[in-house]
Amino acid sequence: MKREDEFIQLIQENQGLIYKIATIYTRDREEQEDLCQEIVYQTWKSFDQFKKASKPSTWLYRVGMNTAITNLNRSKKRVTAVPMDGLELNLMEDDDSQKEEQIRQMYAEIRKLGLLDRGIVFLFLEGKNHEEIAEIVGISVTNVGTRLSRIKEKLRKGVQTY
Amino acid sequence: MYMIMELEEMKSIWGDLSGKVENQKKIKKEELMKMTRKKYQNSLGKIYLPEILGSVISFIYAAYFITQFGRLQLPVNQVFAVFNTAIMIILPTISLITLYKLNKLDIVRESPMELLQKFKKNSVFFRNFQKVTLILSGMFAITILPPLAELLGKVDMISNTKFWIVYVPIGLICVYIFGSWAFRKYDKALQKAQDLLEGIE
Repeated sequence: MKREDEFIQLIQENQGLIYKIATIYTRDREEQEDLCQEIVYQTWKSFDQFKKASKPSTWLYRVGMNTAITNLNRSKKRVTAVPMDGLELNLMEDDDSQKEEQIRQMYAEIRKLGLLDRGIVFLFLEGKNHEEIAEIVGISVTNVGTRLSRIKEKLRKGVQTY
Repeated sequence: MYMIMELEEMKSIWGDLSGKVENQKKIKKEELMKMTRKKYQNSLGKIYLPEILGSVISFIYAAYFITQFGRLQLPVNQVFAVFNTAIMIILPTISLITLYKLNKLDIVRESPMELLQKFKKNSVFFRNFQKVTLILSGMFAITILPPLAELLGKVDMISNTKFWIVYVPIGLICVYIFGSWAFRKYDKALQKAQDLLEGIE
């Protein structure tokens, strides 16, 4: 299979993952679209390293999170995203308004956390176990447990939304 | 209605969301490759042009002072010229090195934790660097005029006490106003960055 086709396949299989990362690290649709495209671009740039990676799933999570973090910390110079059908999703057009509200609320609460905690919650919600989270994020397994407990506490305590 | 969302509850909502996301139509190959190529071109275009341009102008000024140094007769102007030249070389160089470091972060090999630690370190350095830069800019604004005036044959202007009576206070007020404004902006930006980096030891 050609390099380009392998890349397309990887993105198509993981476009949902890219979308979810972009959503927790951005505030509006324009930023989200830009970040989605940045993640795809960074994946393309380092695609040869991906093919050598021992754990491809871990690799993509890491690239996605690191791209989001780097984008947020860099200067605000933005390059307008190319409008593209497919990477951006409009879940707010869902018929079920209660679920729609719950999703909106969930994102709002996650966005109140620090950058690292946001990533940890994201991986937890993705069903990753403590060992996998530790490997992707670059902290110890014990630290993952401690941080998740603190995050739960934070959510219980002060996070109140409509 | 006030609600408190538990992590476990989020997990169930996340499951629904993931299901919906998976059912979205797949992105088309042509679109994806077109976007990737466009992004590549854009990334080449955004190589921090203002910073590079500013540095080039500073280096040209520094080169001018170095080549014209022999023409300065007044010892005080020689000292000012050395000081100004050093500023025009050192500050842009540090700024360019910082940008280079920011751009060479390895998002594949480094973990998110390592990246965040680097960002935290950089933000502290950047804050201190800006403080020093603002102070030096004030001193620069005052000291650049005498050697420049001598080189342009306008020694009379800087020998005139009235000129200094007007120039120094106005210069200091401008530096103070600009400095306060810039510090307020940096403080706000830094606070925002600190909030985002919360929990990084």
